[in-house]
Amino acid sequence: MNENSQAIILLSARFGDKKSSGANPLTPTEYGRLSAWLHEHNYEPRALLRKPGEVLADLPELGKKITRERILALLNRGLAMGTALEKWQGAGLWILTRADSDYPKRLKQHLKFSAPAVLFGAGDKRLLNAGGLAIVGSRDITDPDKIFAKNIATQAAHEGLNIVSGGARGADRTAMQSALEDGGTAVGVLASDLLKTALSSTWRNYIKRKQLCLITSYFPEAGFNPGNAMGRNKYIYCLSDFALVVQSAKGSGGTWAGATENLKKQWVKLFVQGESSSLGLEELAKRGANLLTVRQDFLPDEEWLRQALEPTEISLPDPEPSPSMDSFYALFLNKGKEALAGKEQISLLDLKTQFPELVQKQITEWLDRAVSDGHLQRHGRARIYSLREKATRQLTLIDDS
Amino acid sequence: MSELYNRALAILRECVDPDVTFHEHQWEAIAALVEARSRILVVQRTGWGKSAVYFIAARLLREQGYGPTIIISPLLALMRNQIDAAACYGVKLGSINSQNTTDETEQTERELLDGTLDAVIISPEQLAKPHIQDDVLRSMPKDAGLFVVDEAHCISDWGHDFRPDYKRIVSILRGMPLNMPVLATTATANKRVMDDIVSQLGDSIQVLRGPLTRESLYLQTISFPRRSQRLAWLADTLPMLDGTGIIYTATTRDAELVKDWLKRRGIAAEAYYGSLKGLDKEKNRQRREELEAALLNNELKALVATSALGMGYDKPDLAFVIHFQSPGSVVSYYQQVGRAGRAIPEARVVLLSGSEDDDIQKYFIANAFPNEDLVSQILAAVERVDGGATIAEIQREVNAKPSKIAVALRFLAAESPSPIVISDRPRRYVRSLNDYELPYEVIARLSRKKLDEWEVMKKYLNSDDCLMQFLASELDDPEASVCGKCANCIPEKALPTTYHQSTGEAAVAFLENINIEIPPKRQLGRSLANAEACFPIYQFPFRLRTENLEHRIGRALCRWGEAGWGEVAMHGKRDGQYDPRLAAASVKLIKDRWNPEPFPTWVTFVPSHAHPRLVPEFAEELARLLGLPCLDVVKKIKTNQPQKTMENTSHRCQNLDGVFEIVGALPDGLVLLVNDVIDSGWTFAVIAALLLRSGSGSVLPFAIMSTTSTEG
Repeated sequence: MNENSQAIILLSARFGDKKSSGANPLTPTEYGRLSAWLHEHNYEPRALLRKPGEVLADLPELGKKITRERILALLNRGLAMGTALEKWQGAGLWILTRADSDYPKRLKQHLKFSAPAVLFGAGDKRLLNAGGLAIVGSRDITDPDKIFAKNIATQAAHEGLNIVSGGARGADRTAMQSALEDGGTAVGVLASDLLKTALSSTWRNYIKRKQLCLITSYFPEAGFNPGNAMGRNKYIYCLSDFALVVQSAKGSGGTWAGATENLKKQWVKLFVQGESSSLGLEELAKRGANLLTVRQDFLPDEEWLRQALEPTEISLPDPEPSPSMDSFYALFLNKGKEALAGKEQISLLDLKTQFPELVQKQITEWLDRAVSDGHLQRHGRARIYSLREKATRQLTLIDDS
Repeated sequence: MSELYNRALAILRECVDPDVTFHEHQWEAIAALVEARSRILVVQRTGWGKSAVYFIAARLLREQGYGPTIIISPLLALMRNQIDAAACYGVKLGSINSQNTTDETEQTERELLDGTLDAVIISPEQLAKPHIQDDVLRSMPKDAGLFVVDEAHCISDWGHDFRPDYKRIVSILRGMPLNMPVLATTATANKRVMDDIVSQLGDSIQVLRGPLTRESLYLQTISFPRRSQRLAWLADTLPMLDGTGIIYTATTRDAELVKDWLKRRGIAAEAYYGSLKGLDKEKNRQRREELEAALLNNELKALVATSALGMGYDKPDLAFVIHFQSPGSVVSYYQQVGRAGRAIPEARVVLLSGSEDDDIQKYFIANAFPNEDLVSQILAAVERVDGGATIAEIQREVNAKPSKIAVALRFLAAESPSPIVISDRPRRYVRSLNDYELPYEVIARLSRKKLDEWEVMKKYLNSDDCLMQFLASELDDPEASVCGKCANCIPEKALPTTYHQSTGEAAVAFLENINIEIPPKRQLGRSLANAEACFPIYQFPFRLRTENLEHRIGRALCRWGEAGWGEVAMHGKRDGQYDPRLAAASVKLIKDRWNPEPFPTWVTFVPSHAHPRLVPEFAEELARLLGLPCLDVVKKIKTNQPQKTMENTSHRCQNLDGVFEIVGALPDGLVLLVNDVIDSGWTFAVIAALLLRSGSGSVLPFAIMSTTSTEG
């Protein structure tokens, strides 16, 4: 495991129930802030292992609780990490951090800096990028609900659509097991007990056959707690392309909380069971969820589910040639200069608020280009820029677009 | 920098002597660990002072606010001394190993969890326990400040003493970030082993190496094919040697044997090995401490020990180390003898080799790794049980000796990736997600290597060149040179290789007259649940004594294949007929040496379908010589597998259930129950129980040969 991943794990992961070395691991958002600060100062996470004193010397107030003492205490958990990794990796689990290329793209896209810094998992990692249909619902569901979930999951398996769910009793397990039994694939985002669950006879074989991938953002031996159960619901939505609520209470419970959050944040298109009426499902429909029913009029091997999920396929025709990257760059440059008007300098953070639709990497790439083209001047190691006068070049670029 | 040096020196002087200074490399080691917080490998001979290094480092790190120092060490000897030594440096030391009582372990764990312990020594087997890792090491208020791996050569495949539990240590080290300082130490490692350790612990590791050989050792080798010869030589030579020392044997049985012989010859000797007979853990540990101290204080002439008395035992005036049987490699030999002569000008080191050595080494090599068949059976048994199988469940499914199963499980658990995951309380084995195949190539390579090492050892035994130079160059000691002291350099100074004829004869008689007892089986297996599964037909009670079904302690004449009667009997079994001298020798044993009271009034025997006349003929002759009737009252009503193929209690009992029946009237008085071979003793136990149930008097078992290993 490379040093960057080690550092990220030390900062963000729990190794046991008790607080080892008395410090609480950073939450995803806290890690996000620290990570951004490190990046701005051109430090990789591993610098914290090699020269923590130097790196942390200039650490500003990133948030009330992100203190030097806490970071150092977290970094000094080498033995706890060594024994934990030996046990978990020894059992066949793997670990993904935000620094890894295999880290699920959808999580980063939707959650940005709130995406969990560390994920523990078992099974084929590639399933994490397969998207698919999330199926969620209450733990206590009726038989008709179960049949519905089973039918949808089975159809999804037939159509090669991956299932994403939470592994909990009730709707989750019904959906996952049905899909797997029918030869389909599934991703389970667990709230607890990854190690026990992955080794159990219920799921082992599917994992070994590469049909199932289980992950958790909590440590692999975490026990159940309702807070974690709620906390992980967003990841289920964010890993999928569409989501289906089989059954939900109204106004309370994990399913309700997850579904309303998804509607609010508009992660993925939401569906609810069409044939059942319950206060919860009705309310969700009122708030914008679509209805989904099982199509009996299709032959078993015809593909109706995808159509039902994405009814109008607008394939974007390509009448105009797509604008070249250069013209985007010019646009960026212009807007950046506008932002700099009247200011001495501008920072990366500022630019990110200017260009919320751009990924940080794109911004820094263009900034570096602007510096080498002579438009901007960079202040030392920090990502802080001011204008450099090179009017003629600027005009030339704009003319080209 | 120098501030730290002064502080370290001050701590050293507080403990040892106000004028003392550091030995070569001691300060460099401390600085590397505490200041640079880096990783080092120290290769220095016993007595150099490695514990000073890690105790001072532990103290300094605590003063800087770091957590406790974790020391992984297999050493069992002199734990008390370690604790006192640590206290001397101002370090509060605890230990977690199999010798502790439950109270001691709980106290150490508590102190680790509340942060009051400065350092802890954990044995590698204890580190394997999920409870230790999960509930203790991962829950300390401050994480470890320093990680120490003692006897680091155990990590290496290429070393003489590779241990699966050490592989786990390597896995843990790999998962630790570079900001955790690591100290690895060993006193025996040749270049290849050192290179291997370095590559496993991380190339950034710095190596500090010193000379390994000692000036004071006078080496000698003597070949004595028979044990009686070696016993005689010991009896006559020990009184000639100044000072006190250690005699190493290969097995615990031989340790007892040599001790008994020496005591009989008026030499103050005691036996020392892993689990002393019949003692519970606490008494065991106490006894071992007493023995270690007795030798240290020269209250004994010799301690007769297995390799259990090895690591960590440091007696500065150890005057001799004699090996009763040959160890398997030059490097492990050196490890055992290298501790002699530390603070005295002359120490005698003698290797006696015997004809059984080749068999012993080949046995160890053949059994060093679990075989493929056993491993697949174990994994299948584990996979069948959801949530994991217990040891008892595995033994029920797999027909193999408990020790073999335990060794296989330990091997598998330490593999990386491992096919099994262990959970504690209760201990269960679960199949992991990893595919698994025995690492054939590695095993073949290691077995080949062990055979090669044994060949080198044999060369040492037969060498005419300087023995010290031979050992030193095997260790890749750059300073290997002719010693001018060993038996090959100066034959005149060597110890005589002769002994008195009378001593020789006494040794032979001693070996012929050893007492081999046949103890009764107290209970059927480990638990009531197991017991009920064992004898569904006979339905014996869990504790045989509750229904008066236990036999008395019996006797066997000899051990299978051993010199003397053992060889005669072994041939008799093969030829299908026993030499009549065996009956005569048995009568002598029964009447003169054993002489049970009250004396048996009749004789019966164990029937066999495969060899219907072998045992009855012997029993009839024995009865005739004793003047007692011989009655054929035990019948075999079912055919079963040969009992000797049953490898554990579960299988042995199941194989005997409902097989025998008692027929006919039984006379009054005690009965002598005769068989030719006793292995696990379950056949005797079952037939005796049936006889007693049918109203017989007490049962005294007698066998010609015992094949019982120490495990029984």
